[in-house]
Amino acid sequence: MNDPTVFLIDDDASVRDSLALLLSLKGMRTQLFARAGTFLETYQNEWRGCVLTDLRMPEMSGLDLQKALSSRNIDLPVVVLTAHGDVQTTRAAMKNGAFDFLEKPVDHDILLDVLGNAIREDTVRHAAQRIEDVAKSRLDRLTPRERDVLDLLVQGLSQRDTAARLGISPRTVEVYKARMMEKLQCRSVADVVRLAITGANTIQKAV
Amino acid sequence: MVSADARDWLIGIGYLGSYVALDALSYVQPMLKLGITPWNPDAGLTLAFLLMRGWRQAPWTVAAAFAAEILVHGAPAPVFTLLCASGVVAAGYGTLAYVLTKGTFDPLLASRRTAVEFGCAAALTALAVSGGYAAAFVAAGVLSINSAADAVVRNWVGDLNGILTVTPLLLARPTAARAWGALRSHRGLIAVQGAVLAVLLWVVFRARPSGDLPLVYILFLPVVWITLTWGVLGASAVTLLIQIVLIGAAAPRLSAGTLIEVQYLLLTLALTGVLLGAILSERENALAQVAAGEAEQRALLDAAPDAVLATDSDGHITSANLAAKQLFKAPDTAIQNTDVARWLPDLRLAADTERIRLAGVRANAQRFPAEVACVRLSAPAREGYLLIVRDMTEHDQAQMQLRERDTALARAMRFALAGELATALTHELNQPITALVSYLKSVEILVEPLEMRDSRLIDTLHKAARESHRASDVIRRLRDFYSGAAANVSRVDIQALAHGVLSAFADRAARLNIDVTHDIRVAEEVCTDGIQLQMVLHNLIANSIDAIADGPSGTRRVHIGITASQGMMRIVVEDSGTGVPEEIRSQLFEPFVTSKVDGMGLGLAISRSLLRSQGGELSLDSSLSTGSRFVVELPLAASITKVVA
Repeated sequence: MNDPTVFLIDDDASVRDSLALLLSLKGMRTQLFARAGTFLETYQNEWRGCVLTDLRMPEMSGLDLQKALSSRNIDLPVVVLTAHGDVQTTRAAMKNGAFDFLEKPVDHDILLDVLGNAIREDTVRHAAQRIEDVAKSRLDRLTPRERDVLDLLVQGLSQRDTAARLGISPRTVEVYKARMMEKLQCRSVADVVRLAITGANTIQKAV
Repeated sequence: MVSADARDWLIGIGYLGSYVALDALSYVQPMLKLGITPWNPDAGLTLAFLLMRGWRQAPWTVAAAFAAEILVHGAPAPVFTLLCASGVVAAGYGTLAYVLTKGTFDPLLASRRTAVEFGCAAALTALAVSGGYAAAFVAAGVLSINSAADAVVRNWVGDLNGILTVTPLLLARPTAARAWGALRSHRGLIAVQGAVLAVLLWVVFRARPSGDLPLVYILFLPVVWITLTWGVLGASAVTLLIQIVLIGAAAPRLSAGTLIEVQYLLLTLALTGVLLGAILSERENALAQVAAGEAEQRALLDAAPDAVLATDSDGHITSANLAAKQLFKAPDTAIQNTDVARWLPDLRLAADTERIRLAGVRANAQRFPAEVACVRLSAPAREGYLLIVRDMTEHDQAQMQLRERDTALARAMRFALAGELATALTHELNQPITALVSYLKSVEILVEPLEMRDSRLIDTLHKAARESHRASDVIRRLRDFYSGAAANVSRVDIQALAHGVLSAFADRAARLNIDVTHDIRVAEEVCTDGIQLQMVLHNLIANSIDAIADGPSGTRRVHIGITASQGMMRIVVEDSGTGVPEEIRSQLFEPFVTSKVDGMGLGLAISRSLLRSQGGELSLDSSLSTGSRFVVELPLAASITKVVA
């Protein structure tokens, strides 16, 4: 399931079936849901790809689904495909952060383009996320003292100034720094700085 | 200021003095030097005093009568007898005053009944007083038993004459100002009447030097004449004058017997005058009442909003009210005595008719729609017709406006309905079309790798896909046509709009016994699409009425509340029904969802679409435990003047 997949949500069985057939012929993995609720219940964090959803559906509409996704921090791109393309719903869907908005019956070349773009977007986003996750997991391994040394080094302080600021001997700073670089699997201070900034991004995002 | 007590004393002393003075002046030909004289104005004064001041003032009468016995008559009997006699006088007239003031006594003697009652009661009381008075002196031995009967009769005539001449004049004191005014404005007449009276008195009392007065009956003429002119007061006044002349000037020359005979005649004269005057007053009152009634009817007719015309049996107008003059734009004189056909040319005067519609013609020849009711007057003295004419111009215009408004509303409703149908249709048809074109595309991909394919196959697949898209375009255009109706924003008087919608349901609500209330707190005009708002209100109220029509009677209520603040208008429509069923609540605003057996399920969908197209919202307030409450929120467009600026 970690391969990019189009999660197709539509209450109309024929629409689901035909689009699934077409997309699979074009080499895309598809996963079908008749209800938005079912998709939300079965959703796994590792799922990659994009959501292709109808707007007007019983129980939970496409717009409601968008809100539910954003409230759960699920950042799969959402492509809206609707038979009911009036200006207001379009505006609402885009405001909710839809990746794109297509009207039924859709021109398939456009549909395939949009889906391809959405999946690419997700992949890029996910790759960046992975790097951030690695940096964060490595940073998490540091002891508080190592962390202090890292923070001061990243601020550009010399080894001696760091020792003075922390009230320990430069020699001890030397030991902490070596241990920290080993844990972070960095060879140079430049690598350490890059990794520390990436990790900070992740933390900021989480906040 | 004089205190009430002091005032009583002053009046009492004044009365006492007047009594003694009158007694002295009329002390002519007394019988045995007693108070038995031909004319006793003091008795009249006494009765008037007791009637005006109350019977409790009778002790003053004892004092007055006693004083007169001592001062005027020269104490003809022992003090005790005089006291008794005085007591009799006071008791008699005190009782009379008590009895008269107990009932509804009219001091103006303005009706026959009062006059007769007053005359009879006075006659009886005078008789009793005379009897008692004589008895007191008989008991004291001053009066012989033989002459007692004669004394009683003489005293009776004297007292009664005094009462009839003096009492009515004194009792009329409250109307003195008016009477005085009347006298001043008829000086000529009074001069003539006075002259005639003077001549006749001269003829009666002077022209015949001998001691008898055979011509006294001539005095009936001036008495009747003056009474007919001046009523009871005139009668009293003229008989008083006659008495004064008789007692003051003629009495010394007449024998006691003649004087008594004359007094009988004058008594008849006074009674006749009082009765005649009462009849006259009664007639005047009746005439005044008739005049007041006529004036009231005239005022009623003039106040009537409809024109009222009275005609004779040939259709000549005899009178017209104020509204008629305004309706036909003609002065009163221009309507009276004209033929009714001039104003209502199509009218056929016949028996009573229902209200009929026909054309009226104003004075300036302008025609107008009128409604006429005709009532036939069949009293023998007044044959003819009464016509009630109503100008229907405004009514017809209002009806037309109402029809136009209803037509516009119905047209807008149909348009909105078609739009909603088209939208729903677009969705329902686009789904299978989407599947269709996807399948076609799939087939195209599937056949690509095949060796033995015909080039026409791909062409045909393309054509099939194109046709599918064409079908989709057709219904999309249909939808765009109906949903393209842009909001038509103008200044709207919300009060008038809401009342217009409510009035459309008034009949139905009344028939179903539904209590429709409203609380509209939007006084000024607002900028919005009036027709669309009407549709929404119409839909919501119709839904509410449908929802409670089958509910228990007495609890059927619909309430409409409208408020506006900060550019938002909020309309709440509540009903006391069973509320929206749980199972359709989530889809209530989708098309074709309804809880009604015969409903299309489009009303709420349309209403929400309309409101959303104006940036508003329609929602169901589900916090209510009973009934349902729909809430409309609508942003009000900036005022037109602002937009222009």
